[in-house]
Amino acid sequence: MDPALLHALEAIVGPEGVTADRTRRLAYECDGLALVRKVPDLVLAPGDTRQAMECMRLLKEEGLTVIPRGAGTGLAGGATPHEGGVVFKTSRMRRVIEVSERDRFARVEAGVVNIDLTRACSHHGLRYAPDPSSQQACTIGGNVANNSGGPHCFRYGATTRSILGLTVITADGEVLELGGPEPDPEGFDLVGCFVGCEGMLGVATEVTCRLIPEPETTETLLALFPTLDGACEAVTELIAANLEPSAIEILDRLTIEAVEASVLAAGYPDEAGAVLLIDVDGLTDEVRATVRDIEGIAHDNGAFELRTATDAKERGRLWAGRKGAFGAMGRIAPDLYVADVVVPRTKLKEIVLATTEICGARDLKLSNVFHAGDGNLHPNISYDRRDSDEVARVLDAGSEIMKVCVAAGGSLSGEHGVGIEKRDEMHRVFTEADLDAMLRMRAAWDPDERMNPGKVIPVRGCMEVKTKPLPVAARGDGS
Amino acid sequence: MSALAEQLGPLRGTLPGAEGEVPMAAPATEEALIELIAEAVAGGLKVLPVGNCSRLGGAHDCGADLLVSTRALSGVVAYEPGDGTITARAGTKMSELGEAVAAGGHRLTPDVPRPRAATLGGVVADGWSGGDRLRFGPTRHHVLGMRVLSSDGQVTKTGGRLVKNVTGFELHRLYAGSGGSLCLILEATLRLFAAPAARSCASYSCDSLEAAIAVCDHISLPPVEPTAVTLRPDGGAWTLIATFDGRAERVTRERALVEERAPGAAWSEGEEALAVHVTARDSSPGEGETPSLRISTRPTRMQSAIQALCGHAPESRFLAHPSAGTLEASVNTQTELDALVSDLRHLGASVRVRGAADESAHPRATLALEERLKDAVDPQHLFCGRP
Repeated sequence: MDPALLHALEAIVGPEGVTADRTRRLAYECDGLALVRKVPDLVLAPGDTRQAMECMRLLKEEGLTVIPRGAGTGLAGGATPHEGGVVFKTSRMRRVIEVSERDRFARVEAGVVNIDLTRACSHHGLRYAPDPSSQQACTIGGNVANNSGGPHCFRYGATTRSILGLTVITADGEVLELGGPEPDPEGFDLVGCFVGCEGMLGVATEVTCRLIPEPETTETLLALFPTLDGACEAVTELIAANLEPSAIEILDRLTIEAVEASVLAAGYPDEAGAVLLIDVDGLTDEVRATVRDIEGIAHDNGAFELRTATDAKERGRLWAGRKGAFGAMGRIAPDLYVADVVVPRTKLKEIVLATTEICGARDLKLSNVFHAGDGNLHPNISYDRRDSDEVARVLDAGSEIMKVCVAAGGSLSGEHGVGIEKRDEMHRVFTEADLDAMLRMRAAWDPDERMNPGKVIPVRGCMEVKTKPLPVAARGDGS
Repeated sequence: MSALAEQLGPLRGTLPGAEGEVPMAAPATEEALIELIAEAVAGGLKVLPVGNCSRLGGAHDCGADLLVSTRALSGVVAYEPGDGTITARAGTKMSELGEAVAAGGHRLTPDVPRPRAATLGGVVADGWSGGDRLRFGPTRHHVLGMRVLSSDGQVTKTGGRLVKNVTGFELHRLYAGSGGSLCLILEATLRLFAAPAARSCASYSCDSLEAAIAVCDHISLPPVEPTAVTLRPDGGAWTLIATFDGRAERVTRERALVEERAPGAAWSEGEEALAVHVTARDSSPGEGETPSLRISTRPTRMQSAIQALCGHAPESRFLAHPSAGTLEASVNTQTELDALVSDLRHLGASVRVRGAADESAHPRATLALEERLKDAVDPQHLFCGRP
């Protein structure tokens, strides 16, 4: 990196905002997708929007590529600098700027951690709905980039439904105010266009979030099933019955065992083949009626026991187990491949069965913990990345799972995004013309393609390239 | 134009524009539509995509040489009751969609006024949200995917038919509400919600705007969550209608809470409540009442916005959704309009004007980006609507 540029950047963000030392840069060689690694050329952490703008203008002059990064908890390689460049992280921008109780919104800096937003507004009786499993670490800015989900987006929607406005720095260093607290801004829906862009349109530095009132009552149910099939069928029936709980999650036996053996032991029963974890919230009488209906459907589909959390502490423990499930998988193997696919909710059972067969045929350890209510599956494959043969089988299984889901009317990602991991699978869902339309839209924001290059859209014009698996042999060779 | 019309079948009518009558074509098939668009590009025409023209509010007066209606391209493509989604062609009437999903125990949102006239494509392109956005959010949040026709003749898709999906850029969010300025919507998929088992409506007659807004604030406090709240002037008084629906247990409890907090309402239940709700919903200004305005502001600023409206345009017709922060109005003269819109923007409201010049419009900070998006998506500048 040019020393003069480093000096100029440090003058903007201070020494604490520049990471040039290679050893420290190693921490940014990947996000939660550990299979692809590359050490960035530099890591920048601006302290506010102005600093971010000034840095971006300097980087533009130098023609450097920029990889936006929140907490690095993404699972699709969206924050991995696989082509080098400057990692642009928001972790120093953590102020809650404004909370409006009456108009129910909060304006925060992009580096605010998801759970901290709800903490900041809970004394107003409000909360921020999107709750990814990583909400103790992931940032609001990262959630915006990925249009993140979480268990409760079954009722409240993914991140895009909770974002009212954004302050965005474009690749040219332009500061754009998109949307705001007004429900319908004039002009195009640029906020909706930006959310889920995976860092390829710009960097969000401030976010105006919609808040919702805390419900009067929340009930948490745990339904125990002898088989995963039974749990899947119960969910399909719940959806068909138009019941509207706020979250419907499934954990299978291997997941239960991993969670119960970990520090996050939630009291999940070891005699169940699968459990359904369901939240119902709303007015007290309404919640009771919905719970009764859910219990009936669970029984009809083979549930042999139904438990209701008796207090907030027990409810918290049950959810901590669910949200910590990915971490608990570390007991099974050193690495975890978290697939993220989505299918019509009428096809849960058949796709779960297919994923089991796909992994079984490749001698892989599969566990399932997923947002069943949204049809968002997470087949989790435990593996050891030091075993190159196993890595190849994992990637092959991941690709095959995507293929099966798309064939069933599903899609590649429900909430983790496309990133690097699924980029070369995009042709399974979209035509050349569809992808061209996306590229044209992107070019309007970033004509030089310096924002997070090489993500989401496959290399064009060559099917061989598009179908090529991830370059396993090149991994771990960060420079 | 006439040669083109003869080639593609009879025109379906005309609408008056500043430069004379604007002809309207309504191709019967997608193939004919694609051919028509190619001819329009070749002929250097400006095209405004329309649905059933139920909500144009003068939007066609934008220099269009030709209105292209999708009204003949109608029908449900796929309704998946077990998955809670519906996909339909752009020309499908909202009432037809509503009836289709009711059979599967669903409700359609947006709950737009006069759904027998409005088409899916028109509603989505317009970004038109019904009063039920208070509970369910704006229309753009429920559009899961689209198929669209671009000016280069390409038919592309964005999103899909799944309730949760982050595969690729969400171009449908850009197209929804773009007012026919970027592309022509052929098909859209909407997320559905459970049909309500019960419904109650509370009707208030208030002496003053302040009193009406106070009632509105009281009845919208948690844990009560009305589906829609409408407010309109009624002679010298103000009529406020609040709709509560959902599971019977919910509606019963909400009614009890509202009666306690804001007594004095006339209540209706069931079918009677539905009739009250529909009457309130459909009292929004209709087609032909121009110039028309759509105002969006923070709920806490709605009283000031209505006061500005009443001050500058005392004869205007309007329907407000105070808790949602939106209002639709028609005013009588350009003079009224200019002063009003300027005032509203000073209040921090966003305003969309149809059927008249927007003299107080100042260039948005995002205008350059919006122009680049227009150039990127519609390089021929064929489509002449505005968002």
